Amino acid sequence: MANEKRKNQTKVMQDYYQLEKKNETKPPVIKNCVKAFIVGGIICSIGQAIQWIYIYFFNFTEQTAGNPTVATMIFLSMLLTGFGVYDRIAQFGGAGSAVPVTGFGNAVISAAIEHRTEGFVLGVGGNMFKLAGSVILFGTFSAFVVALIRTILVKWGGF
Amino acid sequence: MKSRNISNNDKVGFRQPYCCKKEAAIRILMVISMIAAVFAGCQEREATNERSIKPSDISYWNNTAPFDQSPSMKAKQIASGYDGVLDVESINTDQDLLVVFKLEHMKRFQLKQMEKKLKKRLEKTFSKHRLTVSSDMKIYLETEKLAKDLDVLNKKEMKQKIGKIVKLSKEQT
Repeated sequence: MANEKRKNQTKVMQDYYQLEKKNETKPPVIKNCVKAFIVGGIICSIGQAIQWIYIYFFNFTEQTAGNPTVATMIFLSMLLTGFGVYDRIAQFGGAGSAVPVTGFGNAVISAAIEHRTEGFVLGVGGNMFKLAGSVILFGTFSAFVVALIRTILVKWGGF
Repeated sequence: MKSRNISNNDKVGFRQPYCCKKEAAIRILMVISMIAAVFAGCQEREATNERSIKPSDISYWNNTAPFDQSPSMKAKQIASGYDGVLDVESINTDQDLLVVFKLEHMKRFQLKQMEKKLKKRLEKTFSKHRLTVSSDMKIYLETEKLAKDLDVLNKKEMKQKIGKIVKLSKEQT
């Protein structure tokens, strides 16, 4: 598809494409993956530690400790975003800090900080879920699809 | 001014490859040491788990326990015979029987099936008891704690405590 499109381009456009391809800096994909792996892993280890704290010192089972753990992780990432620490972590870790649930907290608070000057209602209130809204929407939708598949498999597939 | 800038840049340009190499080497070393630490950690855990498979600790099943603990001893023996079960803890009153087990990490994918299988098997033997089978870490910790305090509890207290653990194991949210 892309090649066909390029054939229809003028020579100048094609030359420019070649020049662009030659000079553009390639993103260090493997290095970024390793960084994301390490940062994501550290965040998940912290989450696991918090879950164990809830299990050992409070009256939560492995099944019920999930909710307070997620809430704590989101709260911590919100605080860190407010203090400007999470931005640095995100700059280093990339997807490793965005994919875990802490990325959700960061998305909410960073949008709120960005639109603070527009007022509390239309600024902070209206734009807080600008980024996080898509997380909620697609999270809910994918949960629905997975639940649907599971129900079909369990009810009709006999698993 | 200009010439100084150029010379500085040159210096930086000259030193950069050496710094980059050094940094890269340090990073690679860090990654390797982290991977090594993870593997070493896993190995240690496996080793300790193997030790804990061995005969269940019966030191605290003494005669001063408020209820006869022979059903739970039997349940322990049955459960520890299953493949992948690392440790079993069990307590009983005259009505309730609580069996909690730990599974090998890779067998945790079959946790629910294992619970069902074990419950079915134990129901055959202990049809008179209300059976609770769990693999939850919290339930295991609580049962272990209760098992150690058996000789200082009376019947009422023990029933209450087991009731609490059973209730906790049924909590969903």
